[in-house]
Amino acid sequence: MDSLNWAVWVKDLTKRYGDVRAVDGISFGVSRGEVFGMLGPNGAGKTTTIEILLGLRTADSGDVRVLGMTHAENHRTIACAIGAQLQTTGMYPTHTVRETIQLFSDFYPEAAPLDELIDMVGLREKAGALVKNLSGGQRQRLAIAIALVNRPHVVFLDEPTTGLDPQARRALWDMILSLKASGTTVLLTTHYMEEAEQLCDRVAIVDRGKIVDSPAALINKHFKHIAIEFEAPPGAEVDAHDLRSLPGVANVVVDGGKVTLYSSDVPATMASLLGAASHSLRHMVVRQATLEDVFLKITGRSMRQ
Amino acid sequence: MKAVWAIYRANFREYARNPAVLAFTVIMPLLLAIFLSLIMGNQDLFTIDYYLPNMLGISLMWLGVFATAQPLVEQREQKIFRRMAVTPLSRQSMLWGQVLFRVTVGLFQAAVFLIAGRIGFGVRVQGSWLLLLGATVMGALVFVTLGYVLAGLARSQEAAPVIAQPVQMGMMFLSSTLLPAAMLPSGVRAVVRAIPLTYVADALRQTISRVPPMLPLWVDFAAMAGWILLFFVLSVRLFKWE
Repeated sequence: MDSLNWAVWVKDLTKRYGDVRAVDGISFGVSRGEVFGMLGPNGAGKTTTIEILLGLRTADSGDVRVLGMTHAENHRTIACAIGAQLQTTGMYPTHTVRETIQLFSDFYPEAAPLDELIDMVGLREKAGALVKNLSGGQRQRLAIAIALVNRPHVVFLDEPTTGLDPQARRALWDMILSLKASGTTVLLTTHYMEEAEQLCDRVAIVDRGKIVDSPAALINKHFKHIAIEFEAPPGAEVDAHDLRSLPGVANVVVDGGKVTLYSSDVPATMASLLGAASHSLRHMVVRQATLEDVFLKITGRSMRQ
Repeated sequence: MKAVWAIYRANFREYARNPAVLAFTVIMPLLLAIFLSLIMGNQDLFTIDYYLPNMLGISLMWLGVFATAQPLVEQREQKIFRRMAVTPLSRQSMLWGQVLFRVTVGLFQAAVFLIAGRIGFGVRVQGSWLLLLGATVMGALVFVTLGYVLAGLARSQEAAPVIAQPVQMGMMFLSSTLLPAAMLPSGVRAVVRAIPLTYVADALRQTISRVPPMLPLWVDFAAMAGWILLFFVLSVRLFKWE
């Protein structure tokens, strides 16, 4: 496929602010109908990439296409075909939900019916409430409704669930999944692995302006393992090599006194670990692997939050 | 066109639902006109005929400060313009909607002042209605364009009053709206001519109540046109949507 067939196409994109390389040669493609996730810590360059894709910023170099078009040539056509939710929602505080959606509908040549949008994001009961009186989750849902007023082909969601409580997050996930079911292409950014796992067909991990690991079976590759964490007693020597030879252990990360084993067979690993050194294990935790672990594994250092 | 109208209505809603802005642009200057004319009214010059048009001029100035510069800075910080930049809405449509809304507020202010003056004090428009309409629209545009300049100078919500207050206070005291220019020391009098509000107020005085003019009416109109042009050019250079 060439750049025209992708919903979103980014090739060798760079953007710097002064001496900071916010985006440092990123390339990826999002095919039509797919949910694509950009995963990474704050400051990794995700938002800058989205802003360039939306035409809010211009790239220093690289080829950026949305539905095969560039903002330089077809900004208005792109704007009519995409929807976006930005990190700051950008709505008039003393407008009601209904008025806000109507306002944004008026910017497009054609728009979805107001009530359909209100129901889609579950704000029927809040339709007459002022934006400034909405909760964070409700405001975020309204932002999604605004992103959908023009029935877009491609939707950009920049950290749609950051700051939401678990219930609100679930509701938003359902909304994104129903978008996907309707054939809409979605590009979202997040720093929650769980979110990427739930929603995305493919994921690119971004750090310091670069894609450090990209798509395909990324989640399976890194997350079929369970993490076993413990602290070694002070002064004790930790031999990563010995630990790696324990049954089921796929990887070992030693960070000061903190040891993390990634195991594909937790009972076997635990049994031999407890048998060998039960008295010297402190603060042991068994948990699902997280984005933090992927980071440690891929970049060799902790995520800077 | 639909988008211009949408922006126009949206701004109106935000204005009408914000009592503080409504108070500054209509109620406060009207009360000032009434109080000042009551306090000073026993002297021939300082009657409601003098203060009503002057305070309408000040209310137009406050339209530029409290209903233009301040909300522009706020909305810029709330990223409202940025969000709209992602839609097909053009900057021109956005600007047209905003300016038309603000000129309408100026006409609304004039209507309130004239009705209050008529009912409360029997003030009747002495000059031509057409010239009064022109003076109101031009006066509103002077301060709306100034509002964009101020919003361009203020980098943050905190900075907005710091920049706007000295400007509006200075204009209020040095424009012959509170006291006639003749009462000011001669050194200060020169400054009066350099202040936009002077010309707006003089044009309004002449068209509403025929108080002895400071300048010929055409000079007032020419000066207002000049200020609008100057502030427009400055705002193009200084004002940023983001």
